[in-house]
Amino acid sequence: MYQVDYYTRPNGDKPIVDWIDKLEKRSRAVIMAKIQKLGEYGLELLGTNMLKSVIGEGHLYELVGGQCRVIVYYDKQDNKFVLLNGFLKKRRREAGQINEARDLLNEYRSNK
Amino acid sequence: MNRTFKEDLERELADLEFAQEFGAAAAKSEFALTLARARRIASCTQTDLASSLGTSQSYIAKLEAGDANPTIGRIGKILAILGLRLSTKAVPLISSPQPSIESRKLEEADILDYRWAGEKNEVVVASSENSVRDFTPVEAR
Repeated sequence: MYQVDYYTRPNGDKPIVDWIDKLEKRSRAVIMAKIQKLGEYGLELLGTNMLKSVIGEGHLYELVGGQCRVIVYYDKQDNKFVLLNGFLKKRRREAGQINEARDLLNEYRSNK
Repeated sequence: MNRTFKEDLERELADLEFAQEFGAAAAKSEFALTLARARRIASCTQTDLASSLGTSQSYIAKLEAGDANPTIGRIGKILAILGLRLSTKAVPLISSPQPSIESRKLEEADILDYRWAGEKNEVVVASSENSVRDFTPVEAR
């Protein structure tokens, strides 16, 4: 099993938790099942269509659950996954959400 | 409040409606993994499998995303194309998977090349540096 953590910002905010809490029950169950699988199988999920690499960013991945997407960082040093943020798949918004995840990742790295 | 994913999931699973949806998604995800592994071992592309099944590549991709909801019969047909049959077992809703390759740190390169080890019913995970053998029978995964 891998440790799976929510990313907590220096001010205490947890963007991924805020996002998951707002999902309706079925979507929340689906994405939490996928997160659980990530914790069980780790990067082996890359062999399926459940997990994709985010191009241009090492160890940053997109976890797929229906229309839900969660951006995840694999912290190789600590061998754990950090859930950064999430969004519903809509083409126009996707790039912005991934950029936001990159900002959160930079914040995570600088405060580690 | 310092919430953790594990605690949140345990709390949510106390709700039977949530638990059922979670169970459905978990089952689809397990099959996605099983199918992706089996297809790779058989050196069969999603397009090849779709063609044999008389469906589209996008449907196979959806299955391997854990987003499709195939009937048990259809699962049997898909596995038969790959020379396999379904074997099921019920395990606790939240449980550790069978000891396998995930128990060690995986580099992406490790999981790019699966090859079928034939009669011994093994899967060999080839790595760019050194090969790690996983002797867990395929059926037990």
